[in-house]
Amino acid sequence: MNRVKAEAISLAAPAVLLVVALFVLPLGRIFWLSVSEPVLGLQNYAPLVADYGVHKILLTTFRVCLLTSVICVILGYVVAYAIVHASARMRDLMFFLILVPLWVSGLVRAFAWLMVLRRDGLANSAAQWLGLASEPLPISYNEFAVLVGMVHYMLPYAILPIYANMRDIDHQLVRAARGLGASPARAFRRVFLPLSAPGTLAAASLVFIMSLGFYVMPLLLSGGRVTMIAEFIAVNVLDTANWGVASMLAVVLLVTVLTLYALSRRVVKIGRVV
Amino acid sequence: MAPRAANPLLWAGAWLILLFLFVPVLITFPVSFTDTSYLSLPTQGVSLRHYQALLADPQWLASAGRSALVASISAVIATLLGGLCAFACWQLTGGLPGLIRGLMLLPLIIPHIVSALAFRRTLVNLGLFDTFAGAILADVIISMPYAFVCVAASLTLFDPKLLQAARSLGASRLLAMRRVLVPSILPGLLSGLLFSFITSWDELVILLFITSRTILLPRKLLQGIQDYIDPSIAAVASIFVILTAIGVVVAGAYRRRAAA
Repeated sequence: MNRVKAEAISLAAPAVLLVVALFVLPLGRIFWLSVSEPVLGLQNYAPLVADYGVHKILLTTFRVCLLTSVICVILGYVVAYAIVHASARMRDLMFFLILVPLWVSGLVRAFAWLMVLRRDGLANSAAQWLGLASEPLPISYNEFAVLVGMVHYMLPYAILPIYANMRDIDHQLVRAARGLGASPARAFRRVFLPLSAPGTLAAASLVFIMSLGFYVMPLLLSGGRVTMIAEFIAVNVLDTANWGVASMLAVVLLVTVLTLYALSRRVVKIGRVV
Repeated sequence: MAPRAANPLLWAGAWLILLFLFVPVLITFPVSFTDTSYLSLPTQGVSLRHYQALLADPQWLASAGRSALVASISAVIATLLGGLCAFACWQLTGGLPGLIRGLMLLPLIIPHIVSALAFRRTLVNLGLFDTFAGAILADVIISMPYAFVCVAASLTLFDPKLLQAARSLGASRLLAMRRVLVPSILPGLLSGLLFSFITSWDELVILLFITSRTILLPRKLLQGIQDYIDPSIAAVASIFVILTAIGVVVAGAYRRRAAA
């Protein structure tokens, strides 16, 4: 081994060793716990097949994440499309409106939505003042509230990859299609839409994967009424100290996320978004 | 440059969605100026008393101070180690850099709830549960990917011949690194520091699992939100929003200056 290589490896070593010792090995221990707590065997994985409560949590998680990513991609597509067609000044303003919420702490955003959606919150007050509703709407402490909060949190992560993709599309192609007689709708559908598909797919998988592990937003906005997998793991560790079930669910979540990540990298390359 | 699309429906939709993103964040402001002693919009008039209460409350200040300390230390360590690692990957060839890169980015992909379980077990074993050292270690791990990526990105713009030139003009390796390499990748180092700091400052889920009586700011914030009574929480949230908006504007101006 030559000197430069040896030196480079010694420079990388502290970071690599730290990640291995304090992250990779501890994750391995979570795997081990899931098959050894309290006794060796696969009994912790039994609820995955047989327990109605666990099924319900997995189903809720899947449903909320799927809805979040579908809604985020649709809304994100519209916004990204507007940004690439906007003037430079308007684009700056639009980015400001996207980046401030993106960088504000998730707790602050959950708190803001609580104030909007609660029974005595702004949405209900406004609806009643306008005469649209005579009693509080069912918009707080339920799955709807969780969805609103999660879409709000994840939307910038959908907008940015779609925008990055659309920015690189050669817009002369759309003009060429129009020049050759395609209607605006047809030019969009046959030329622009396929060209923006990679960014859109990347956004969809990014949002879905990130949403799977959400804990604080569902906890606060549903008041504990909508349990997703992360919250169930937390309850099993922090409240009941049931490490067997907690580590089993952590393994399920981990394997799902890594598999989806590997799959989505094969289909599209998820670019850097921040 | 894309041609301007004319469809007014699209523009209306896009602005509505942007307002959906931005307006809720602003709601903390009127509530923070309420004259009541519970969370509500101002009734009789506006008042600054909840900001005053905040400044007078030693708990808020103490937890903010603790968070700032933990986030600063872990950002410096993360940027140093992550930066060195990025530099090493930049020098290496073959399959090793890809492997190291994958390893360094792993904490970014794994859901924080899973990482939290792993950290909890490990820190309890090391006797670092509920300590500053434990919180710093966990924060270094989760913020190092950002530092790594930032430094790696600025290294791709750096010409290795510059280092050779400095060396051939008689600079020692260390001097060449300090006077040629570090100034060129300074933007990457600074954004690495910033991203690491914010990651650590904002991290709640892992904190909930590795501390109990050491109250850092995110936990204090969560408690305030769960209680949902004291308008001080709206004042804290408003301060967060202001600081973020300033940060976004400054970062945008910096980027534009760097591009010009």
